[in-house]
Amino acid sequence: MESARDNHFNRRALHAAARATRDALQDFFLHAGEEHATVLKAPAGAGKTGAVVLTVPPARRRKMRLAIGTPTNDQAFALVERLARSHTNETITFVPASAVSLPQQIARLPNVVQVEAAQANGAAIIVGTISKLGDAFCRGTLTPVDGLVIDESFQADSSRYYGVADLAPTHLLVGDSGQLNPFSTMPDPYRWRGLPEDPLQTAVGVLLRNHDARTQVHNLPISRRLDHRAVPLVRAFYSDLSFEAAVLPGVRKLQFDPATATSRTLRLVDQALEISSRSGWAHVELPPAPVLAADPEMIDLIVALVQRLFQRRPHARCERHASWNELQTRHVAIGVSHNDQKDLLRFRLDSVGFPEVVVETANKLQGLEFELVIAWHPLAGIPEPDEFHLDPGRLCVLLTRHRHACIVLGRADDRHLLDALPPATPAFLGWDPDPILDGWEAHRAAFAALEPHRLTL
Amino acid sequence: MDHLEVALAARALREGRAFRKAAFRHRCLSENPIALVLYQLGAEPFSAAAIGFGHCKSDFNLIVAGEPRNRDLAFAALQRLAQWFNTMFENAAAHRETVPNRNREQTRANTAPQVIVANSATIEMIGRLGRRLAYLPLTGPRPASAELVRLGQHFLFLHRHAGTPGQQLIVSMTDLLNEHWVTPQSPMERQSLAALYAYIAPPPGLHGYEAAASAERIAIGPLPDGDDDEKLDPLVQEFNGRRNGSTAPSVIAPLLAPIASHYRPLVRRTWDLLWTCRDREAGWQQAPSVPRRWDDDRQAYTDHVDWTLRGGHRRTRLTPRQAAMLMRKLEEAQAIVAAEQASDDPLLIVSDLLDEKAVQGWVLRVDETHQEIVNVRAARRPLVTISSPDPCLMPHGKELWWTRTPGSPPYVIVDVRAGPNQHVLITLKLTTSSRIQLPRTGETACFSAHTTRTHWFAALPPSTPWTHRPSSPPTPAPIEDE
Repeated sequence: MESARDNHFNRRALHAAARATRDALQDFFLHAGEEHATVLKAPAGAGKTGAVVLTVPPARRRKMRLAIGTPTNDQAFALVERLARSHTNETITFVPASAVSLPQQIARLPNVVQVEAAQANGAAIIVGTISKLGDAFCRGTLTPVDGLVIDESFQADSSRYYGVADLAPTHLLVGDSGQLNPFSTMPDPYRWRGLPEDPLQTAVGVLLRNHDARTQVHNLPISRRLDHRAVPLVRAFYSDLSFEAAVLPGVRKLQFDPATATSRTLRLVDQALEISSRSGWAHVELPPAPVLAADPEMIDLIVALVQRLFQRRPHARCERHASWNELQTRHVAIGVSHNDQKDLLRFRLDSVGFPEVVVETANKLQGLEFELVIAWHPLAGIPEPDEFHLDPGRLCVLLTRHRHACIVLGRADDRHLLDALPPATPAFLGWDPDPILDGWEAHRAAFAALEPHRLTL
Repeated sequence: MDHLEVALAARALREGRAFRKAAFRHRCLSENPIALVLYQLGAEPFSAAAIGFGHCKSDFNLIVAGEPRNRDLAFAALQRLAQWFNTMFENAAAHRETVPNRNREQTRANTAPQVIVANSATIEMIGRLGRRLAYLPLTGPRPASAELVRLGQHFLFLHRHAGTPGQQLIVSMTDLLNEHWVTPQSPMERQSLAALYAYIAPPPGLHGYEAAASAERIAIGPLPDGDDDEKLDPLVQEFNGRRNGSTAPSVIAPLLAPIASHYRPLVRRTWDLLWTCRDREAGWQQAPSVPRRWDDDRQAYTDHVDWTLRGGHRRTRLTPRQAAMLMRKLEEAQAIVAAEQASDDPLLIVSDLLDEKAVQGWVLRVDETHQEIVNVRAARRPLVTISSPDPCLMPHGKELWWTRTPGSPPYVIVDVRAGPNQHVLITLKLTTSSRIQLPRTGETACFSAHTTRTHWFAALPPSTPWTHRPSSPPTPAPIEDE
């Protein structure tokens, strides 16, 4: 598909990505049968699931049975669909956890079967959550296979990897290092931080800790989702990864019907829409105020923004659609940090007739893609930045879900929270990252990059 | 801070006294606890310089080490504590009941000792002392006494158990107050038991802010006040000079009096405050779910005593598998204690009502016979409609549990519509046909997102997979650069 529209793509980036994928797969298959792992690390929207899909044909040629796991059910569903549609002559076997089943439209695909673990033992391509695959393996209902592929492996924690690791000797771990790290609701979740037994380190983290010397880490140097306007800002979240946008400048375009603003808020909203369509970003700031998480003014602004957006009939064209297409409500998402923000927004948007506009917390948006995203800035109106709100992964997820434009909403004093010295943070032996200081840096970089696109109410 | 806490904090500032956020007391307070007050010397965190202990307010005992930086003197002080503490702590295990555990039976002590301390810093110090004592050799050139090692094992157990949400074997009074009271103080200010208590019970005529401002200068331990240690320093120097290197009890005992006199008022002050807070909190009615958690505590205590007295040892570090299992156990305990507390307490649930995690209203209708097609057969799915004065922003399909049956299958919201008098009518459907207790028409019912149902745990393999084993055994790195 990409080669057919060569003039839309950055060929150097595509070649580099193809080479990285090929090298990673070669490394994985070269060590088939050995206790060996290959890591494929990628930025947001790199098409890493595409690399997972590409493991199937060489595995079938070598008569290797594969188990493919993801941290969550939703990710597993999406992967089953992707695999089934890409390899129509292969049977994709999904092993669900109890009380879980594939959505109807995926289950109905002719080459998808959904079976108990015990019935999956003859299958060539087995998909499930890593918890389910690990549990079935430990109980002896699922017998070992030849290769284990884990998608979103930076969201898989060490304890889940522990359960599934012996399902196959040879592993391919694919993932995005910039997203949210595994978390726990237990009190004092950092009690093991820095120690080898820490169940909250990532699957990739525990692997590299124990087998750094013999584990090859491949980088996928591309983002297919983000374009050249988004990539410079997003690089702040990937200090150890260089990458380029796959799509050439000028290919993606977003425009709105002309309109006349009749109020101050609408004028601001219109400006935000226009800036975002031009530069891919807009940063709108409400006046400074200390507010509770579910800030009613912010909710009003978002509702006004969504209403105005669709009133002005947004049209987009891109590398996938050469002609102008009207943006659908389901292709627009609002990313938030808290569930009460989500609940209140959901209620308000439903009541003004936008039930299809997606509203989700950053955790749930991981792995999803939209045309336009409205990001409720994690620091908006908070009195003091803390680890949760500074988490670079949370901001990264919110700012990397869009193909065309991202409108960031906050309050005017959010930036000044980071003018002071960063707080003293606890240190952990054997553990270098510091989520508070890393977040502090990433947030400052993001604010600086949003500077030219800023509007203040 | 949730919405309720913000409102109560504002009110507390206006009225000059703290407000309760819970109608009940959610931890048991034993009639006959073991109270401990610890002080360390300066910044030496692994030795106790002064220890206050006893089992009631009038039973105040004080031990001082003299020179806690000297191993023999530090251990001699702890040895005296061990003789009292071990007896108190282990005696409760003598009387047992038999309880079923899956397919077998196990015994459980009828009661367990409860240790009360001023703050979580004391629990941390108990953990450090435990870590220092529990693994001492009983043989060799410098053997430790068996009592001292057992004291270390009990301390280590208490410190580890303290991390279990809702546990009651060791109670930090500061945390207990913080879980039940709201003040406008910052989290750091609320770690001073004296300042926190001053806001809860300010002297008559004094605003809580003023009372807390003067009380926060009071040191509680285990960290000493700098000025106090300045006064202590010459006493310790004189003590060291007089003992002239000796650690013999006959030499030491007569020399300790000045140091004991220094510590007595400091430790006594914390002691009195600890008991005042304890006795005041004991006056609140205990929440209904407390005995269930006390059963777990008694079992943990019994298992620990049996293991320790059989000569068992505990690992200093967990394996990856143990850490993973413990993480899940603690996550589960956390969810259950939150659900139990919310279900028990009509005041505590208010924050959930404000945060759209619960709805409450008068039961208008209960349709016990409602049926619908589930898979292919018709099944009973009772409907409950409540009338709530508050808006309900929760989406259709949201799973909620009636607070009277938080361990049963959930209800789901199937309809929300406007009712008379600006009320909202919310219809919930029970997702089981089992005959479980249903709300009755006319009563007030609350449905919340909290459940005591436990999640499915994925099994973990018994042996460590290659990914979690170091490729070469770790070699100790040099402590200092060459």
